[in-house]
Amino acid sequence: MNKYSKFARQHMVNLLYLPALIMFSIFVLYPFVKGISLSFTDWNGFSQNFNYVGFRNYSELFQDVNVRKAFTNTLVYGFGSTLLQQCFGLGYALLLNQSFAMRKFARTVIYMPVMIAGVIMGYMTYFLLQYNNGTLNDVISLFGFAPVDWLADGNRAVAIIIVINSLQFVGISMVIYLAGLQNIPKSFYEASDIDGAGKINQFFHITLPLLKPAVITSVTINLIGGLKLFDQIKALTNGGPGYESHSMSTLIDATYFRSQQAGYSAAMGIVLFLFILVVSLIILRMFDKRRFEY
Amino acid sequence: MKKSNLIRNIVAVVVAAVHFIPFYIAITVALKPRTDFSSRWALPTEVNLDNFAYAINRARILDAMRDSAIITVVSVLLVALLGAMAAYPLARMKNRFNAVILKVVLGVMMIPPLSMLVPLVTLMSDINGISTYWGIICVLVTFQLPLSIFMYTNFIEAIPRELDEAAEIDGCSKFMIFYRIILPLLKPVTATVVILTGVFIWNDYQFSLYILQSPRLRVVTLAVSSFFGQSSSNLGAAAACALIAVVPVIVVYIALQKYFVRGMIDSAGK
Amino acid sequence: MKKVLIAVAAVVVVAILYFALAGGKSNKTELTLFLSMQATEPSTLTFEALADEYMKANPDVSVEIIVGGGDSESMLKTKMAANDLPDMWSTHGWSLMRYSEYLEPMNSQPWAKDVSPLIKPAITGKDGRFFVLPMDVEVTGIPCNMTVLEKSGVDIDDIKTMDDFFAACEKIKQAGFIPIVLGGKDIWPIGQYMLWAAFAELVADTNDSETDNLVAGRFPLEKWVDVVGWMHRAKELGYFNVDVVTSSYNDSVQTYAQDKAAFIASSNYAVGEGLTYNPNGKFGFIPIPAATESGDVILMTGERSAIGVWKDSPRKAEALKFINFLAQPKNTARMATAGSNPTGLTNSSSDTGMLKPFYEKYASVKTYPIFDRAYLPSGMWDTLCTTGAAVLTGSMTPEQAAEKTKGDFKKLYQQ
Repeated sequence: MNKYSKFARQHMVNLLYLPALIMFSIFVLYPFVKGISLSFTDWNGFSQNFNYVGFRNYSELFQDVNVRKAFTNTLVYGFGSTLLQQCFGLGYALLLNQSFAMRKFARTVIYMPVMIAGVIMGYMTYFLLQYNNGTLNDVISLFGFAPVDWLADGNRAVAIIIVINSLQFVGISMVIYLAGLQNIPKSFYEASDIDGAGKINQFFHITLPLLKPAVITSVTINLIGGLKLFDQIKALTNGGPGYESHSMSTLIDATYFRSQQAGYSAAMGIVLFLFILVVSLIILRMFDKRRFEY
Repeated sequence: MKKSNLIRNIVAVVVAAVHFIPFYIAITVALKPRTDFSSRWALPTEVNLDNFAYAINRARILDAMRDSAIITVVSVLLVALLGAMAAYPLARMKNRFNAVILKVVLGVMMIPPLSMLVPLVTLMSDINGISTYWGIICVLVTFQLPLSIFMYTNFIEAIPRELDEAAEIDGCSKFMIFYRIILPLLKPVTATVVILTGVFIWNDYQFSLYILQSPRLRVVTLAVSSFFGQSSSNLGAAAACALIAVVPVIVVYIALQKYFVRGMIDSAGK
Repeated sequence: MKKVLIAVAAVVVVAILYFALAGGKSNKTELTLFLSMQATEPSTLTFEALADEYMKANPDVSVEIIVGGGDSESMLKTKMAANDLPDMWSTHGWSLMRYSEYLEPMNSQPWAKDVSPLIKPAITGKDGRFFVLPMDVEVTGIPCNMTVLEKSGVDIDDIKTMDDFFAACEKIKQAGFIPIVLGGKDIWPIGQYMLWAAFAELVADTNDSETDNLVAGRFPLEKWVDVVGWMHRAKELGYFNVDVVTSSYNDSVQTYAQDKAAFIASSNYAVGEGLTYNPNGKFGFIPIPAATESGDVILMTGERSAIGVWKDSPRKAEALKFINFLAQPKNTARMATAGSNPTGLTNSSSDTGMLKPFYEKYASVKTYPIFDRAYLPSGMWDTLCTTGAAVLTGSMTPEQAAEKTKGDFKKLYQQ
């Protein structure tokens, strides 16, 4: 056997990822690279004519107060809903990890919203928060309170969107944590029972450390989802009041289609891409570390 | 013991009820005529199925469900197959080049679709992929592949290398190892990949909106959105349409739930 | 596992073959007509009925109607960018500013001489070309709820100026109703209100009109502060609904239809939509008042069910034949009647239903094309909407909003 064929034998197997790479190149990388060139134009998004403007879009972007607001909001949405989903997800998982009659039923219903298209779920939740005939206002008026225009205040709107988004997607975290909990050997708890450790002690010294892989998986999925949050915002506030609740995704959409500044919007898209890339590379590092530990 | 189970059951039902509210509201909205302005909590005084008739006759939701089902099934099979194929060398052949490939794959997940939408639609129309099954399937598969590759790679890495090595000594080529040894072990993670990406594909709106534009090929999300317009909307019909479209997803989930949770346990618990 | 794999491969192969072969061409010419309306609107139903009739008479042609739904505008923009458009589409007010680059001029069509003077100025470009068949005309006054006005003791014939309008609003508010309901979450109703104010301030008084200045690129900053002022003041005086910035347009129509609000920030199509919620409602409209005594009340007109043909369509000739079928008087009459609008061609007339007495009463009122499309550079519509929203939320004063509008005006005018 000569050297060449040994090399080939070793590396031929890499051909297996060729189909995937070809598809990425055609349907993602090629359009994306073409898309980048649009970020240097003043294109309106539909005409065949436009001019190249150099880095003007990028320099405007860093002075735009609306972009700054949307960027902050994106971080708040990303980290806020990740935090909330970990708390609720873990709580639900701890509850449903015990055996009782309604367990399967509850697990199914909590997971149900995950399976529904964001656009549709968005409209359903808008019914909850409307001022007029909104279901939440119906409830508080039962107790004699005046109806509240829930989404009228920017900060409150952002908080409400986080809660709604977390309630919709908490099922993912719940299932991941359930899986993690079921992987913890019962003997660990039995041993600590003998040592006389309390439940709370057990949680912090056995459960939580052993759940670390599940935490990382869940945080990654939630964070990427949260940073790209779009449908809920569009359905609940459409970015309003004013520009108060825009995320980068919704601002990119509004700038592209509504303000007809496709070039400017493309520049925002590139910046968002780079940002999420950096965040996820950091998370990947965490993954790699985790591998060393095992 | 009995008492604490009762409390658990009550808590579980309350939590489930909270999560069920949006569905309940959608049901009451769908069952009421437009002229009914009663509270959305209130059940309709008489059952009105007009909205469901609109969903079936006007938005042809049943046809849309068939088209969605075809697209979802074919796409999910491809996502799983191509994902597993790509993951094997990425998990086993560790070198600098493959590490870069893996990062590229993950980078694809982060691209905001809007920043490449127009070139993509131009490309699809140049290669006559607009309003075709293969066109939308290619795009959806490509965008779900990173998640699939990511999950398969993690899973394969956890499979002991000794299995591969033993087979190699028996004279198996790498392809044979993948086909004979690794592939059969991927069942649990495949269930997870299928459910996660299947849900994304079934619910896709953004790509379908721009790539499908023939009344003969429409997906469920487009059927629902056909009840919204700038100067007029029909929320009841949209809700009815959405409810019909949700049923098969829930049925499939309940049927596959067992495998799904297993897959999650096996893929998360390395 | 092997069996599963073989099954998977088989399904994929069969599917690919099936779709590759199933796409076989029939001999029919297949035309597509894209509508940016929703599926259960009367206009959509009428288009479908007319297409069926046409297909019966011409068995070699099929007309497929695509109901665009919620994101029609984004979809059409993307399609334009990719230069891959439907054969025909409805232009919803934008045949000149947005779509003309892609549309076939209609000047040489047999019905061109019949285009109604109501709509002609709105669809005709500087070079005299126009690009759509206007089957009906969208008339924009201020839609009102007659029941609420009656209960508040307001006579619509007394409203000639914006001051009259605000006085009426005060009366309505005192009577416990919402004077003006506006669904600001959808942004465009804010722009609609801004259009009223812009007409009142800048167009209504023909001796003091700013239209020539605007077209020449001169922005009347001080007057624009007054334009925005009408938004600011209505907000300060509590003439809008409480949820003005958070409610959707659809919410606002429901409020209007339930006899809770007197006026709605919309066009006359709010009346038809209102009737679907409250078939017993009594609705009407008033012309847009003038800012000063010396001005005249006016109405705006624009495209509604207006259809254009893609200039690069491979089926252009057949598409134009279908357009000529739609232009037949009985068909335009039917379309206009479905939406309770006037027809867009002079050789037919429609039944405007509940609004008939209003159209008769305002027959001599002057009509203008929709303000931003006639007098402002392309892209300003969004500025009107967002500056209006900023004033509503209090994040901008009218002065700041006018300053911002001026900046965008200068920038977009140069493009």
